[in-house]
Amino acid sequence: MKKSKPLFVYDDQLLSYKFHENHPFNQQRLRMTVELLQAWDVLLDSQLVAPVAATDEQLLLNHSAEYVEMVKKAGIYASEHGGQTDRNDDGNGYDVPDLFTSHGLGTEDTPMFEGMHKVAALIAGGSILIGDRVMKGEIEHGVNFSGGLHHAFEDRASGFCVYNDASVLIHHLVKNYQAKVLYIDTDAHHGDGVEASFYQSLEVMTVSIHETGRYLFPGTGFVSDRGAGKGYGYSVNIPMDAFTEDESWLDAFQQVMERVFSFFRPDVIVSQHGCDAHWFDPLTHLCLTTESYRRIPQWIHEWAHTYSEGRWIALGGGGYDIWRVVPRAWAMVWLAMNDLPIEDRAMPEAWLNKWQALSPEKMPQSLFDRQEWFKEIPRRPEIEQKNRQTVAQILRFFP
Amino acid sequence: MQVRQIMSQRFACISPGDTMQQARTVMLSKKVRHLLVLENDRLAGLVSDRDIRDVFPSTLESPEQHREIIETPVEKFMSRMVITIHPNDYIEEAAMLLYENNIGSLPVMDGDEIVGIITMKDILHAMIELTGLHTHGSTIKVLVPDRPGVLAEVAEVFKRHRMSINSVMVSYPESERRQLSFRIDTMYPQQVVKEINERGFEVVWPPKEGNYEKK
Repeated sequence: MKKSKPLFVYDDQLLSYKFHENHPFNQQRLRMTVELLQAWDVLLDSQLVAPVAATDEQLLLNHSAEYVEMVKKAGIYASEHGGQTDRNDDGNGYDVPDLFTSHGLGTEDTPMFEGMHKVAALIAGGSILIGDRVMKGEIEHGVNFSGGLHHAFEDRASGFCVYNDASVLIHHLVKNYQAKVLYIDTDAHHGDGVEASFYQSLEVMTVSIHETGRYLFPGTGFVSDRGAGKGYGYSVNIPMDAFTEDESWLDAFQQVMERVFSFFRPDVIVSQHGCDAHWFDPLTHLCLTTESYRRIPQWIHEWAHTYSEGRWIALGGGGYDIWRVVPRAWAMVWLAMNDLPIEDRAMPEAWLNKWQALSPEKMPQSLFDRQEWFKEIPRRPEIEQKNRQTVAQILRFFP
Repeated sequence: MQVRQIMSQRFACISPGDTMQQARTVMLSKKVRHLLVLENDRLAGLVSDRDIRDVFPSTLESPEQHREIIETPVEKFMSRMVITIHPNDYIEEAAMLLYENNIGSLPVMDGDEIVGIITMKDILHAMIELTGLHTHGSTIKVLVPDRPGVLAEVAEVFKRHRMSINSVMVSYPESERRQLSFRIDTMYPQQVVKEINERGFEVVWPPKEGNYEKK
């Protein structure tokens, strides 16, 4: 049976996953990505699919009933108190009862907003939708860039994430298809929520490459964190030093992934495509360029065909320079997934004109970055050396 | 943090008349490096793995040759001048005693009663906890002048933003200023960093914002 072309989850409703005007997490990047791909004529209307909200039962695969209840209440509380918990000029919003903050809701990172349950469930539903289509063999690959909310825990919101759609999806794949799942997380922040969900599982292997937790949120994901119980060895962490650049990062990623694939043969790959490790990203200190964001999806695409019969579900994630980084990085995931060549090309003029009018930064004119945009890193040899040592230490653990 | 919070309440002990061989067996089986020597429930001495190694015959010799030695009672080579500590003492005092006397453990004594033992490893573990290595969050390092109230001024910024401080450490990288290292429960420290800078303190991590400047 000839499989259909990859699917792309999108619906304007997804843009309502919005904490407040000044919050760094801005889903406008979804629309920008869709319009960019449409301008290039590589995203057909028939490839767009609207998500269906995850049911409570599905959310409970990863979250406690108490937490789901609290998220629902938080949305109602926010609407009764004027929508979003944005801070006023004096720095104080309305008081959030401890009931919520003890679940990470109504914090500075993850404020409460009207309808938060509905849209967070929609995001999780989008990831499940792609998962079902892939496992039923209708498509080989699909993407839900609104997902990849990897910091949410069983009973706690964290780091801009309400429901952990990646964990919900993986639980769904294990439960309904008895699948062996490999989760690959290239966000600059450690994929702590997903790791925690499957820390003791050997059906699910998680790999996270991120900026070291020594300074950066969430402060976890050390080399020695390798899973527990029967899942020992099935969690892999690759902490990169601050200011790591493409070459060193790609080298580490490739070396470890090759060992991962010879150790664990997955039925399906779930990848998280946070693109906040880019030079321009304001939240992190890694120094990747579009070179990495070209190679990551190309490699994963190849691995999917070599090791998991093509089954690959891609998700979004972090990415806080929505003007200069996210649309280009995610466009490359889509190009790779559709088996289209990823070559440098000019950004579409109409698209650029529309978004440049809103952007505080001068937007790049080409798909690929130019080396002259970036400064030289003075400590490069030291950083590369440290990363090589980290990789050697990780590889020692493999049988 | 008090010694009682991190000491081990389970400790291995032997009697002064027990042999070196017995002492060695207890150490190996209980995986400890220090044995308390008790006589009538009173602390009479301490035997460390180094004491054993100092007097243990070469393993290259035949058992016949060293039978007499390994049957030496521990009272012959145990340390009698044992440095101890009280459960209410602070762990930094315990650390100082270990450091200054070049020893590895301290029996914890409440009067005449032995209530536990604290080892170098316990101190290391406590240090890992105190530095906040295992706490969640983003690290913010600030250089501040050495004057009263300065910590509160910085902490007030976190309070305004309803951010929990999971850990805080003070160090002295230069003579005029102190460095405060905070572990803050947030993924987005950039706004508070800006405000701390605006208050005239120097944030040394994360590096300044801006496209190229931040690197």
